[in-house]
Amino acid sequence: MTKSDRKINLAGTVIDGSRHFCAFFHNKDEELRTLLPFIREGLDAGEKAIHVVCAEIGSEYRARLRAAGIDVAAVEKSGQLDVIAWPNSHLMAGGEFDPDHALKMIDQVLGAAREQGYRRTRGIGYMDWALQNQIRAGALMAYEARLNTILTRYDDPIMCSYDLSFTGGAVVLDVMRTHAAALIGGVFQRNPFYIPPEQMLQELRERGEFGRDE
Amino acid sequence: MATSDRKINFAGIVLNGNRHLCAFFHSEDEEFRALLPFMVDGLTAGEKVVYLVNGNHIEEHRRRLKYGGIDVEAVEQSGQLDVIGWPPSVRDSDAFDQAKSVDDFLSAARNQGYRRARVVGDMDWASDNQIPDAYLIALEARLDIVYSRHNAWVICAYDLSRFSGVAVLDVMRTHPVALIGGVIQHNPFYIPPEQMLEELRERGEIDRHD
Repeated sequence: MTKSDRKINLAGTVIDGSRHFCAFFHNKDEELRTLLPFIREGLDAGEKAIHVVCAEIGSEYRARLRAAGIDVAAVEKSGQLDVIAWPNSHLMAGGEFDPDHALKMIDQVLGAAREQGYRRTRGIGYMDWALQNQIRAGALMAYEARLNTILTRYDDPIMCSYDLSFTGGAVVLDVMRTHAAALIGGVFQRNPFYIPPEQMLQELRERGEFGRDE
Repeated sequence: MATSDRKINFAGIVLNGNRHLCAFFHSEDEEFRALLPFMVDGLTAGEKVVYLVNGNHIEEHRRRLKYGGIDVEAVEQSGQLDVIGWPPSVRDSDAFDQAKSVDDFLSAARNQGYRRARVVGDMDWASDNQIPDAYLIALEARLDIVYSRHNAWVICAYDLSRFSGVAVLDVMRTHPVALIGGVIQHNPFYIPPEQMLEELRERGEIDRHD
């Protein structure tokens, strides 16, 4: 399958290079207002859209997309949009979030989209699913770090969106360090604080936040 | 007065140009390990060094400097080192007044003949006093303006376990250079102080006149 060569716009910037991004917002309105053009551009171009949302707000999220003028029923039925609710039981091992399973699932849905014939997928992770379910910070950061390795196999832009009202200072900083570019205050920039996944995992182990055997 | 042309080393790189840094740490030990050489270098170079700390913990901080090899009594007596409890007084309760206090002590240092000053802010004073995020960011923005008028190198040190996500992100946005995980980088997320103050006003987090 050939890759899409269409440009991707985000907050007034054309995206190129590594595709794992983070975004920080002060509230839901600012979040959706900023991400909507990115979502619409992909749908209009016939790309796949995968949105991971907090399990409790799946229907509320669909309603917000509808209110913004997206024909949610049609794009879900055609398979162009998947709204995935997390955490589901597959992500949890012994009541704890399991990064391995989550990464496998992301790999699967991106691979499946490609097999369905989509030349590009735009993924958005509304990270409330992790923050509101009190997923352990070390496990979440290990997931974010290792997602970089998975995404090297894809050309798909993946945006992890963090609502600052649920996020502590230490998490914000580690999120910065696990994403190649960041959208902050409406400005999208390459991120010089990014470090390779192996280095992040090593640091998490040294801090005792993520076990050697994990 | 000629400016000092000595190089400034911090966390293994030579600083130039931008002088208002934020630094983030996971523990007090990590923090002190990074800040101590920066202060020692300044003292050795004959520069003024100002250490802003929680007013309740001044003695503790002085003890740690001594433990780190600084002859605290001697450099305090000579006026080269000031360990200052922050905020300076209850009266100086708003960001504007606090920024003015900093402006004043930097001017005083210059008048005393110091060609350059190093300021280290241990930002625990803010979390210990439950300073609201918006107020803290307004202060950082105001200080960014003050520091640009002086020949001063400034490190604002934040213990990550004590600050909210909003605070950490906006702290990043008010410092042109940041130290994260022991690595210093020019910070592309920095915005000019006037823009930050305007954004805080638009968010309704500070008053028009703040």
